[in-house]
This record gives sequence, C-alpha cells and structure tokens, in this order.
Amino acid sequence: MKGERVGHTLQATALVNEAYLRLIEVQQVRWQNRAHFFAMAARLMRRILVDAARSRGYQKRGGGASVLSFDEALVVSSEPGHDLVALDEALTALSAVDSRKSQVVEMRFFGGLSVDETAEALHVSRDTVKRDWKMAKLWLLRELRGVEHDDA
Amino acid sequence: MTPDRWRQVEDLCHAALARAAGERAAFLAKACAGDDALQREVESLLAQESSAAGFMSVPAAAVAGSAGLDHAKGTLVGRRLGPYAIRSLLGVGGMGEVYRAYDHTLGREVAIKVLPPAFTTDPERRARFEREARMLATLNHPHIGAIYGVEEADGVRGLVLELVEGETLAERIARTVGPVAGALTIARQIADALEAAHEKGIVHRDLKPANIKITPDGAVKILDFGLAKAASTDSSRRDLGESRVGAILGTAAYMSPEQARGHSVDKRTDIWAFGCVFYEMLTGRLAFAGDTVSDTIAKILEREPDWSALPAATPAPIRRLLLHCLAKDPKQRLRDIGDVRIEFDTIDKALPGLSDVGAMPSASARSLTTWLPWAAVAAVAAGFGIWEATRPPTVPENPLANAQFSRFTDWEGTEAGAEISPDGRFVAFLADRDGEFDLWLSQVGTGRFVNLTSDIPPLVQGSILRTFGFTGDGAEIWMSTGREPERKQQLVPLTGGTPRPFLGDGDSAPSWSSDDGARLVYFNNSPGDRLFLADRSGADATEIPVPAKEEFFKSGMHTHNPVWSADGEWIYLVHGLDPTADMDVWRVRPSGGSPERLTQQNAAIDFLAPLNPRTLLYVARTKDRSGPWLWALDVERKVTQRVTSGLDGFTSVSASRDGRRVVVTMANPTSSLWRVPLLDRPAEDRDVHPYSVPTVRALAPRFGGTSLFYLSARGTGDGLWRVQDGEASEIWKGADAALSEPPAVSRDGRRVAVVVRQEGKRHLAIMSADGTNSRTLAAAIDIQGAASQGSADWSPDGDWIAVGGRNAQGPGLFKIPLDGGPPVRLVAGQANNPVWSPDGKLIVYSGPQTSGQVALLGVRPDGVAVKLPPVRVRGGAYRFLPNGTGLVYVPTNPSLDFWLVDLEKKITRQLTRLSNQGKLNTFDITRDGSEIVFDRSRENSDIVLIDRPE
Repeated sequence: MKGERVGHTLQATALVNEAYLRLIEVQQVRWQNRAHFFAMAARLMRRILVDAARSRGYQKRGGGASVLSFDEALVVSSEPGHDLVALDEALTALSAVDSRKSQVVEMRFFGGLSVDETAEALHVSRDTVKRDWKMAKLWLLRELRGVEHDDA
Repeated sequence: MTPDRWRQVEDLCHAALARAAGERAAFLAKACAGDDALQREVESLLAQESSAAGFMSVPAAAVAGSAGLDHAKGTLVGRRLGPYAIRSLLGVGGMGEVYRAYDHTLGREVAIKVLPPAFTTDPERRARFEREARMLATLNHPHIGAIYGVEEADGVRGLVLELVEGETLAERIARTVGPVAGALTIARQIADALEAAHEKGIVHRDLKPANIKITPDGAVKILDFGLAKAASTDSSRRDLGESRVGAILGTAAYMSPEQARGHSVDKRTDIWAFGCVFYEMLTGRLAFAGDTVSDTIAKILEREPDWSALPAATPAPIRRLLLHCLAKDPKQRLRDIGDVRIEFDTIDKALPGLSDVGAMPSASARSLTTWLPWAAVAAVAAGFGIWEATRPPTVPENPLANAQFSRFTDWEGTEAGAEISPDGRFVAFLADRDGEFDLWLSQVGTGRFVNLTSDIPPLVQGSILRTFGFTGDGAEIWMSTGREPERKQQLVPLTGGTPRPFLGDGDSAPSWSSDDGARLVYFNNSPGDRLFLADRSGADATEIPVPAKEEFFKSGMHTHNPVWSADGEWIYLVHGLDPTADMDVWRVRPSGGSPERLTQQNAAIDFLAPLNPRTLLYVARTKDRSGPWLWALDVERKVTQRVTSGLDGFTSVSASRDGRRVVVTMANPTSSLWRVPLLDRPAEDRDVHPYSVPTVRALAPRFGGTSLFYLSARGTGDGLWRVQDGEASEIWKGADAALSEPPAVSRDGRRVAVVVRQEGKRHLAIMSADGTNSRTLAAAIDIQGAASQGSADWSPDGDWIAVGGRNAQGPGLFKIPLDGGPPVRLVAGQANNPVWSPDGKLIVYSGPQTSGQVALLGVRPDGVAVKLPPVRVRGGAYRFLPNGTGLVYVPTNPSLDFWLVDLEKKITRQLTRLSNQGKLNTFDITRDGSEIVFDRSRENSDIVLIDRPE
C-alpha cells in the first residue's frame, strides 16, 4: 500500500482510533487489494463510531452537534439531523435496497474517502459514485425523517 | 420494491434534479404517466433535496485535516489561485488546509486557507462569509493576523491571510517544561489585540493557543479572528459560536460556560478564553481538561482550575486577574479586556522589567521558585489599593500559599485532633500508637514525644468536639476525661503531674482569648449548648447574652468549639442542626448580641483556627459528604475557599497565636518510604524500618550519585523531588497530570529523565538534577511498559537511555543516544522496563505479559540476545545490585517479597518474608547495595506542621 491517498485515509483512521489499528496490526494482514483495504477500514470506522455513540447514549436532538470523542481534542462533527445510531440503522436498511449505495455512504461518510477513492474501491466510475451518493442521501434523509415509503 | 423499480425511481430522481425546481412537478407528472405510487415515491425523495447539501457533508470523524472530500492532501501545490501561486502545504487547520503562496502582483508571500466545499456550494453561507471576512479585513493591528481577501478559481475557494512565521503558542507550551518564559509579555499582547477587536465589535470566539502564533522576534499574532462566526451555518439562529453550530472541529477546553450551555457569545467569552490561555502559559497545563469532551465541559461548568498549580511566586494581582477572567458567571467576569492592560501597566510600574522575565523566545524553563523575588511581590501587593477598591470582591488569596509543609509524625496507626500551643512551640494530639488512644505531647524540633495519659483512663475521643487543648498561657493542657454524661475537664501541666479539675459539669471546649489570654469562652454541653465567658481560671462565668436565644439555642440546634478571634473582638463558633450535621461558622460579640452567620457550608464543621483578624481556617466536609477538607474564611468578605486541593483529608486544624504556624491532622492514603536490609537470611517485619525523608509523602524512590530522587506532593499532584545533603526540594512538576512513575536517574545523579504524557503518548523529558535544562528526547517513541516500575534506564556512562516503547515501525526496546542521534532498536516486539547493568554490558527487560507475569530477558547493547535464568516477575519490578552480580526482583502476587537472582550462579533466593502490610509499588537499592528502599501506600493519618512565611 503506497501513495499519498492511502496515507490520507490512514491518517484520518489512525488519528481517531489508534488503539484499534494496533489491534488490527495493519501490517500483518494481507490485503487483497486497495479496495479491500478501503472497504474494511470504512466498515471498521463505522462500527467503532456507532458503537461509541451507542454506548455513550448520545442521541441527536434538534440542532447542534453530537459530541463524541476519542480523546479530549476531538469533537465529532455532525450536521443537522445526525444521530449516528439512527444513521447506522438507516444505512443498514438502505443496504437491503441497494448495497452499493450503502457502501458508498460507508466509505465516504465513515471512511472519509474522496469520490475518486470510492470509485476505485468499488470499481465504478466517478459519475456513478456521485449519483449513488446523491440518491443515498435523499433516501437516508427520508428514512431518518420517518417518511412513509415503499421500502419501509 | 424490485430492483427494476428502484432503478426507475433513481432515474426519475436524477432527471428531475437536472431540471429547474419549478419544472420538476410538471416533468414528473408527465414521466410517471399516471403511476401515482411511483410519483409519490420520487417526490418523497426529492423533498429531501434542500437538506441534502448539508447532510453528511463532513465525514463522521473529521479530524482537523480532511479539508474536503474531493481532493487528497496537498494537491493544490503548484496550482494558481488568481494572482497567487501555491507553493507548499503549511499545515492543516480547523477549517481546511493552509498553503504558503506567493502573490505575484504585490510580490509578497501569503497564507491561503482552502475552504471546505460547504463554502463553495451553499450560496447563502458563502455570502455571509464574505460579509464577515470584509469586516474582519478592517481589523488592522500588529498582533492580529491580517485577512487580505478571498480568492476563488476552478472551484477552489480560499481565504488569503497574512503569512505568519514562527511557532504557535500551543507548540511552545508543549515543548516548554513548566511555565512559558515571557508569559506576561505574550499575555499582554494578546490582551491588546483583543481590546482592538472588541472596540470594533469583533469577537474572536475561538481563542486558544493553537490560534496564537509567536514570530521569531517574539511578537504575538492571533489568527482566525472571528472566523467562527463567519463559518456558522445558520444566520437566523442566535449566534451560538463555532463550538455549537454545525461542524465542530476543535477542542472543548477553551469553551466558556455560557458557550457550553449554548447561550450567546460575546466579548466576555474571549476574556474567558484569555484566562484559560494565560493560565496555561503559567502552569503548562490546561485550565480545564478531561478525558473526554463531556468531562472537560463538566469541569468548565462545575470546577475551578487547580489554582495551586500556578508558580509559587505568581504575584497576587495576577492570581486575582486569572480568577476574575475565569469567573463562571459572565456577569461576575472581568468585563473589559482593557482592564488587563491597566493591570499589567501597574505591575510594570511597580516592578519594571517583570514582564520580560526570562529571555524570549527560546529560554529554557526556569526554576519555579526563582521566578520572582518575594519582596517584590509584596511591593506589588501593597501598591494595589486602587485596584482593590474598584473591583468587586473576589476570592481571597490562599493563606497557605508558599507555606512549608513538614511531617510531624510518621507513626503507624491513627493520629487525631492535633492542637498547637499559643506560642507555636508545642503540639498535642491523640494517637493510638500504644494501643488505645492517648494524649501525646511534643516540642517542635525535638522529635521527642511524651504520653500524657498513660496512667489516666482512656480519653474520650471526640469526633467533632475538641476534647483537649492548650491553656491561654501555654503552660497547661486541658482535656476531657470520662464518658458522657460524666465528661469532665481537667488541667495538667505540660511537664506532667496530677491533673486537677477545671470548669463545671458539661462545660466543654474552652478557648482562651489570644490577645491576652485573660478571658475564656466555652459552651455548656446541655440542650442548646449555651455559651459562657469566664476569666482565665474559669471563674466568674457569665452567659453570653443572645437575643431570641430560645431560637438560636433551641433543642436540636448545636453550638460548639467557640474560639476567640485574633483581636479579641469576636467569638467564632460552629452552629447548626445537630442530627443532620448542617453546620456553619457564626460569630458573636463577647458582650452579646445577635450571632451572625459567616459561611454557607451546610455540612459538618470542626476546629476553627483563626490566623489573623481577617482569616479563619477550619475543617469541614462538603454537602456531598466528601472531605473533610481544609477551608479558609475571609471574615470581612464572608468568602470561603478550599485551601488545599488533592485527595488529602484534613481532620483537624489549629493555629499558633501569631498565625505563623498551623498544625493539621491529615488522614489520607499516603505513601512513604521504608528500608529493609539484604541479609543472609530472609528479612522479616522487624527488620523493616521507615526511610526518613523530609516530605510528608514519598514514593517511587531512585538513587543516583549522592542523591535520592522520588515523587512527592504538597497537597496536590505529585512532582519530582530530590534529597541532597538532608534537604529535600521539588525540582520538577509535570505539565500534564501528576507524575506517576519513578524517574530514571543517571549513575552520577546529575541528570534525570521523566516520562511525561502529551496528547495520549508518553515521552521522555531529560533535565539536570536541579530541574533545569529540560528537553524532550526521542519524541517519536511512545513509551510503553509498567509505569509504576519506571520505563527507562540510563547506561552507566550516561550516553544512552534504554526504553521500551513503540515508534512508527512498531514496538521494541530502544537505546536512545543523549547527543540527539536517532534511537537504535535493540529488540523488536514488546519489550519493556529495561534496566542497565552497572558494567554497561547487559540490559535486562521484560517480555510480553502472560497471566500477569513477564519473563526476564536480556540483550547486549549491540543487540545480541543474552539468555538469563528463567525467572518470572511482576512486570518491570527488578533492579540490578550495584555490584552487578544479580538482580533484586519481586515475583508475582500474592507475596510482596523481594527475591534475588544471581546471574553468575544462576540461582535465586528469597530476600524477605514480610506480612502483607500495604501496597508495595516501587523500590530501588542503595548505592552501597546494603538495603532495599521501597514505597508503601496505606490509609494513614499523620500530623503535619505548616509554617507560613511573612
């Protein structure tokens, strides 16, 4: 694994959950390819963040950020409407409808990957990622707001 | 929903979004051609469109660093942004990447902060941001980083800023051990900048050391002024400050209480942040720090900073200033940052050159006690009359500041109720050293103790009532004997002799007037506890008249422990509801009158000790029953403060007549040093003796040269101490939390290495044996290992330090050269707590831990492994004998015994057979190899003498 893109992703991951990376012993695992690594990292991030949110019992209420941290200097941002636990559930529901879109969200939002990195990881074009991202956001927003729809 | 249907929905969504908003409804109606369900489905999704831009626009765990989702780090280098050529990446800030760029039109270098996509896409946000930036651009001040403009090109939008060279204040604080040199000058410049901005109605909102730069010539530049407001997402909402609105990427440590609560922000928020920054410069630690953001916020809202962490010689006006800036209620806080400038000006006049204490910018940390001469401080305090009169009352200074604490007893068992004679020469106290509680007497400085009641029936051990004390002339001791209800007072001369009766039935806790000793006050232990005055011998008793006394002294109310004020004008007493221990300190005129309440403690209070006409020390718990702690009451302002921080509980306090000497009983989990000899047979309990050091608390001993180093504390977190020629002095105090592991001392005792925590990692700080010339060593290595045993060790020649830890390549055992070269990895994998043999040829360390034990492993300084006798030890608990023939170690629990492994003969033998008497943490071996010195912690109480200066 080389190249500054990987470094960028790793940095975000590493800074946030150094302890977990140690557990994984990143260097010892044989990654099949970059895509595999990115997917795993994003999934791990999602799990860690959601577990932490769940255990702290922080639920988003109205405006303002949820406050979630791994060390004193980090405050997790979240734009309006965010409750990581609810988002996680909504994302799981989305994966039943369209797993690729769910993966795009997982990689971009939890893994912090760029459009290009996501496209490479999923073996699709940039445009596909952008369209997936757009649709996924609409779908998730609707789901989070509890609007009735066909997939419910 | 079928996959096909879903695809249909998707396509329709994208197609509709491609059209103008007004056309979508019509387009959909046509495209769905009567399929209502499909149309509803698509419409319900499209309805989310307006929120979609801001939804998940920043990754879930965005660290300051991911500037945007769509370009990897530093890729703008080499591009042009308008007239600016982007040269290199400077770093990553809270709102995006910052580049160094060159302005071709003006021929100067600038900094460009690339803004996140949210600023490019949302037009409303962008417009508001521009308005703000324009206003900020009018701020023209030498200590504020200027904003030159906003530039946009190719979808990249950047804020063009003044390029400020130099380190941030955060970096300086991090690399300085102890207070930052020139802190006053820096603070003053910050205050000047804030004053200029506030005058224009601009509030910074996010002031913190990371936003403050110090140029190479020592000038301060504050960056990111007011950008927090510019960055807020919703103008219609109340201005909540960056910390609360939308994306927060930063630290909560500088948030003001009103910010944390979501109230609106104004210039007083900046003043709070200024207080935090100033505090941090002076102490090297955060004013409010917690393990998590919520802990930090809790501290901001509920706790005071550790005021005792301020350097001992911090002038009183500076302390008051800090208190005033960090008042939690904004209405009580310093209102105008301009007052800070006035303050500093006055200090400058009183002590010219004070602001320049310490060379700037790269002086090393100075010894704390030489920062300011005490006489100069007094001069400053005296000259502050004007300031005092115009400022609202603040918390009084700590009457125990700069006091000398020394242990008076280090006996086993419990001591209680210590009292000091009026002249300060004798101390009397209860102790159960001989089995039952007796009254003991000692003359300060003699080290000799006399049991006064060995022939007398056991003393009543009063929990809140004073049961003994010195008479006004200091020649006799009164004490209570017998049990309720036949409690009687007796007098016994200091020199011993037969006790004689004193006072009447139920009369308790007499206290002599301190000015002349001619008068006596006591209370009668009957329902109501009424107060009486008498002459020095107890005769001519009269009741102190109190109007509505039925109310004050009614049944259930309790009054006790009356004492005279230092000037004889008042009687202080403890009064309150007995069953619930809801007590407070009151006072009444000896001639009678309505008693006046002085505190709002509402908790159990004992022992009142007046220090001077204005200050009263007392012992009390808090409402939540924690404590008991030591408190000081400013009688004039009726303001109370807790006098010591830390975990030490105080169960008694008593002061000499001149208030210079105070004696307290401290009940606390303490740690002290003990010694046990290395004998041919296993040593037993009777062979163990205390190892005397001048401080009250001692742990983690390390010998080096002719000194002993250890950790100790003056009522608060542990620092590093050294005993040299019988004198102990604190040489270093951690910038972060208290030190918790033994230092590594060079063989000649001239240098010391300490492990400090910084941002979740542990690094070595090296310094001279007097605490000067400190610097970080090998910051790339995060130290691991059993902290209580000491993680590092010096080579005998002093050129290397061995340490177990992990760096970018993984865990291992390293030797670090002191000359600044790179660390050398000796062992790969988990390897901790190394000890270097006296001949320098072997390093012994711990392997990975299994079942709570580690194996002792060996390596030569050139990296070749050495096989050692198979010994399993408690992690890190081993030290070389000075002659190098073997190691003393502690095997794992349950025994707390020392063993020896002889490396030549490859045998082990047991050195001690002790009963389990307290937790053993760290040990070392004396230079001559004859004794093991170890620390033991236990619940204990001790009498402590406090000598106040002035």
